[in-house]
Amino acid sequence: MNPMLRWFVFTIAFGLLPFGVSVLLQLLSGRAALVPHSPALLFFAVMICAAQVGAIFSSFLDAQGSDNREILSPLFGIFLLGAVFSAAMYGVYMHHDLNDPGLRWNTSCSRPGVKVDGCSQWLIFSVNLFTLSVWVAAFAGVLGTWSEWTRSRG
Amino acid sequence: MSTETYYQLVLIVGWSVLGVMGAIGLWTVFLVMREDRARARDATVRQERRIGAPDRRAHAETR
Repeated sequence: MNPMLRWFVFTIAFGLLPFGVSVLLQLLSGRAALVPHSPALLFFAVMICAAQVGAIFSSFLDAQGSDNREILSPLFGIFLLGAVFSAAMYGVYMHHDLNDPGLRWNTSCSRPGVKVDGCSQWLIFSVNLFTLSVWVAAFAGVLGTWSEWTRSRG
Repeated sequence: MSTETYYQLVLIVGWSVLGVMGAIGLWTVFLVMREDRARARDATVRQERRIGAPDRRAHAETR
């Protein structure tokens, strides 16, 4: 199987599956809001980065990969940083979700029409976190694909 | 730490880390492009040597 096809099927497609299912379920339930999908995007980023860290580490061990050490070393650093950073952002998202001011009133600030103290600040941060997650996921996807392509051509 | 400070800190650190990752990524792209150019140059030199050798031999034989 072509390495790039394998990459797209087993890493990109499977990594985007939670995001796709989450969006689909939101659309089917008639609540099409993008903000709650941050963890699915961060999961995708963690998966891409972890897959690349493992693959680059294997390349370091074989003879051909050690010739490309100058290129693979910074890529290894980026993906290691990316994996830790995405996982940390996932933790921030979970902490943020548990600190929803609406929970005190058995509701959520993400629901339309909920007016609780601190909700506007909480929602602004949710949107900012989502924007950051989109960028992290896009960056991981593009750089991961490029790294895979660079390694597959030798 | 107030909630507002925490939110700002997370976003500043988040965007900074992403910026650092982007900068290293661009640098790696530059490294790969530089290596590609070096490989292309080496291939051209090798090809010129291969083409040049029989020509020189043929030239020596006619003399």
